[in-house]
Amino acid sequence: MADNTRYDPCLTAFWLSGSMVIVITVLALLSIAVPELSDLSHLASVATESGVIEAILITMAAALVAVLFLVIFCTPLAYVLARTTSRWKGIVENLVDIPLVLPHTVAGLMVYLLFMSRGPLGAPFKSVGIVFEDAFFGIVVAMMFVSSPYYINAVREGFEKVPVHLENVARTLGATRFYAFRSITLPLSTRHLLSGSFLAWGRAVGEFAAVVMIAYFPMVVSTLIYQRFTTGGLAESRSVAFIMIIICIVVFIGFRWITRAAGGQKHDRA
Amino acid sequence: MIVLEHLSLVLGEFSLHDVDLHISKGEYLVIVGPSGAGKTVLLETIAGLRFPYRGRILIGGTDASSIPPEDRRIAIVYQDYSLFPHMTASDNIAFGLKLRRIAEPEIRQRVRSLLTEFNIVHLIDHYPSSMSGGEQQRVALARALAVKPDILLLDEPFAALDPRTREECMRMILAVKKSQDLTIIQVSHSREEAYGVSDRVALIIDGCVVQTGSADDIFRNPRSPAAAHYAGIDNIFRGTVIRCEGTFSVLDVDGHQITLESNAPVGSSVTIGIAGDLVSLVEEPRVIVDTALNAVSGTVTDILPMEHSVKIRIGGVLPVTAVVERNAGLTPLPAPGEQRVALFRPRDVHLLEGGE
Repeated sequence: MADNTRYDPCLTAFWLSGSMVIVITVLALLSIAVPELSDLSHLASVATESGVIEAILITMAAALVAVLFLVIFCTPLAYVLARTTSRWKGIVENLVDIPLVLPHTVAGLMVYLLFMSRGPLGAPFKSVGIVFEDAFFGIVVAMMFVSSPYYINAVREGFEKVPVHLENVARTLGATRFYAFRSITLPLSTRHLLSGSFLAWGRAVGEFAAVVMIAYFPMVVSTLIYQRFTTGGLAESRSVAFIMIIICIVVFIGFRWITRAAGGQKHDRA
Repeated sequence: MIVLEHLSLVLGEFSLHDVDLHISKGEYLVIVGPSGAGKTVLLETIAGLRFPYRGRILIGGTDASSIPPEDRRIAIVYQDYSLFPHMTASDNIAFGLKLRRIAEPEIRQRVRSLLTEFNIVHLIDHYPSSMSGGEQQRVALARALAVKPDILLLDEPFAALDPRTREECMRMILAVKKSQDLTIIQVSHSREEAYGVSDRVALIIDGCVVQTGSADDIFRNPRSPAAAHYAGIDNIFRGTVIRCEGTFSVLDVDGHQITLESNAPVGSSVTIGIAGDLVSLVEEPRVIVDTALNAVSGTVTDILPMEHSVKIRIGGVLPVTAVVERNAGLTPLPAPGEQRVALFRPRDVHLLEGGE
């Protein structure tokens, strides 16, 4: 740092323009944190409301389950996309990215139409007792749909970074393709798997529009904040928002710590 | 041992066309050729990692097309060594052994003996990122040999090593080959490696095997213009046979008459190659004693010093390049602009097959 502090007008200008965004973020945080911290008894009463606790737990759990499904179903897809050169690949890649470009209400409508009790997927699931409309799994599928591109793209990038030569060598040493994937490619992509999961999780936790269309109840935090904002006013919704900010920051720090631990393996150069 | 029959494959910009090669058991075949010629692709196809669209590979007499790489008993070592970065040297070497369901104590003992054989016992718990190129090379070789393959494929294994380490590794591989009766196919860029380790050399250009033979055949006796270019033959000319005198033909090359040992018919158009180190330079044409020598005179246009020799180009109607040893000449090197006569024997003029 010390030898890098010489005045550079270009870098200074870049810093200044970039700081706009940072200032807005900090101000936004303060505008919630200051009033909340100045009335701790109100904050505590909101934080202990059963409705709030329930919404937070449901949001966390649904996002976690959504990520779990993504890991199970989309990790193989990410590998196939990373390792094959089929002409169908481009089409599949575009399909994967579709949730990124859709307005979330549109995504929500799509999920609803597909998974509602009369929907093409909702109906058969209903016949075996799994309901999505106003149900936990409705939240999960909405979250999965909107967060899948974040997971798939991050993990695919990780797989692409593992040289195919390593897999080739493993094959010639007697490994099947699956064993080579499991013992070589997967462990070498740990960081991308973690960051993909975290990105998808964050995206899932924050989803409102898509979730609310298929499952207004049970309420996720976003729905709760919106409901309180429209019925109870600012102070009501702000407390819930502040609690959510604290939780997300804690999770974020925890994630950083985990990736650092995973990244600090002995084989990596500093 | 391995027979490649009409092997053809396309892979992006690389391709192989109708490759036919027979490699016998215990042979050390070095595949040379310009970069992008499809050499690595050929190795990967032999290993079963890529699939030809035409032709087949026979290993030990059986068609290998339905045998997956893990069952071919062919090990590969890449130029970048491709050690598993999340495993120590001993785990890398043990990787294939564990897949063979060998008991843990035996694995440990075999890893130990390989580490000893390759003189890398001190690396046992080291990760690849902390090893030098030569050390990684040894671990990669030990890992490949641990599974006792029938065939070892080496993809430019010495390219990234310093000269001393390279020599050491070449000696090591030759020793291993001798002791285990391995069949080795190596891709290489370097002449020294081809001369140093090969029993036979195959030259691949643009995905085709253009010539096979000893290192001398490939580099001193190229049969086609493309092979001559690769071998670095300095003088390649096209001409027409104007007369035959016994076992000699006389060519007209841009108005110069060049004599060579050949029975090409009069009127035929041919390509010839003359190695630069077989051309000598003299100051005066009157010193020519042997009138049977070809002589081309001209002005020295440029001089390119190399490690052991100097390339001197004589410009004239027919530009000729001579390679003279640095310390051979008792006379000082000519300066640009001086007149010289290039002399070469008819028997050193090689007829190259096919057009340019």
